[in-house]
Amino acid sequence: MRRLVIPGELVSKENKKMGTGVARKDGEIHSNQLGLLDEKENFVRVIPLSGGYNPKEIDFVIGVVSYVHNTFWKLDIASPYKSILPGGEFFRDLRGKERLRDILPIGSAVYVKIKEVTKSKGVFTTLKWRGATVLKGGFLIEISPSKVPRLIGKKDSMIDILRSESGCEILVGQNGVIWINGPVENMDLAIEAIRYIEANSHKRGLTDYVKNMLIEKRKNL
Amino acid sequence: MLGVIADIKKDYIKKLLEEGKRLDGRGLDDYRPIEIKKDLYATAEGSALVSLGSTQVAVGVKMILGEPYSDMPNRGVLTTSAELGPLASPTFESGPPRPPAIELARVVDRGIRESGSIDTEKLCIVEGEQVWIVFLDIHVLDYDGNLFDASTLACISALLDAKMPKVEDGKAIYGERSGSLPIVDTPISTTYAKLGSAIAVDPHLEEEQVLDARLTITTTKKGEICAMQKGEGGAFTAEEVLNTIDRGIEKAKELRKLL
Repeated sequence: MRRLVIPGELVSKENKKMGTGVARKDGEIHSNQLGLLDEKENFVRVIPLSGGYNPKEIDFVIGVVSYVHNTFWKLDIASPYKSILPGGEFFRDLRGKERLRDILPIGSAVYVKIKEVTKSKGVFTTLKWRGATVLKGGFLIEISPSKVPRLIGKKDSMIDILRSESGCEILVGQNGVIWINGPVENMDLAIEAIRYIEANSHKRGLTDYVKNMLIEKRKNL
Repeated sequence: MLGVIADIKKDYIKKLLEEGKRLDGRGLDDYRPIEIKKDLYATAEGSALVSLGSTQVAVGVKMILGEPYSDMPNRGVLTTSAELGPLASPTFESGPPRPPAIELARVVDRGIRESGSIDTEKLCIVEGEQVWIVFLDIHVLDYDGNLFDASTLACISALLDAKMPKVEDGKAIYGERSGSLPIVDTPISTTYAKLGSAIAVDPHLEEEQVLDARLTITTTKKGEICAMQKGEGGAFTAEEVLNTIDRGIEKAKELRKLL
């Protein structure tokens, strides 16, 4: 079991490599956040229990267009930091012939990759990446970004089960926004399962439980 | 939390509502679970905490002695105020009340005032000089949609719970109580959200964010309408309004049993 730590708590007196959520002071490592301690022989980090989304350059996120400028879209990615999708990062070359607001108006949802996070936390996203897409139909739900790794599971184990057993298309943004598309009954099922995972993310044997739950409920559809 | 509402979200909620379904599995005429707790805050004359699903509203009744309005010298005064603090939702900010808070307070106030719920003549102590001033303070603790109905329920519960302080030589003695407030009617508000062609009662947060128009109907014990409020940019047809009023009156009878 991982130990629960509070902000300021002494985590390690040894000199270890540091991950997220920890800080070094006077040779000692302290926690920055309320979370679970992940301590290995030469590495230490704190997995936060909750909190906002901190953009990283490898992540895919789901964003909603909040404003359209002449040359770029502003995206809301459920994060404290502002995010931009430049017109040049759309799938095809627009060559300034079309207006951006006709292509993706305010309220459009997109599944984008984060291309760059600047030092001042400006986030630049792109659609020119395998998998990135404009979302049509379906529904968006939000969970805490800290629960996303559990929703995906080890080597995609959890999300694969969700996809196959609920019969829905599911895309998970690392920012905690999830897109689900499918028949209404199946979507209800998927939403229920995701909410269950969010509430019980700390439990063992969750993947098997969710699988059985989905199989049982699908029989009744 | 996303600050912008995605179009696909609105389309999906609309599609569900038009099929008679809702995101949380309720029917179009179902309220979320309602819980009313009374007499929670000792410093108030009366108080109530109402939870409507995840929406939570706390109301305190405070009474002080003061002067009546010159056009109503023999009547007590009712003042309602609402506060949407940052505790309730990330979209609320502290500071002076903004339009949503003012609207909430006014709609609740109108329901209680126009139903004649409080017999204000009994709040008069010396005609033209001294009357009771009743403050209804609405504090939203958790915002998950439909503050109107939750607040009206909380206000009327708090009024029913309130005990009047004793008066001696023109001064109030808050330690001693002299009976309940003169409550003669219990107005109940029902709020309906319209999206597309569907009209559903008790919109939760996600429905409230995408609705076209909203209609609040407050009815008295006898089933008479004492206050109405239409909000947001969309429109109701005359037929829809009449239908919704009938639904609202029926629904209010159910809710009144909870008091």
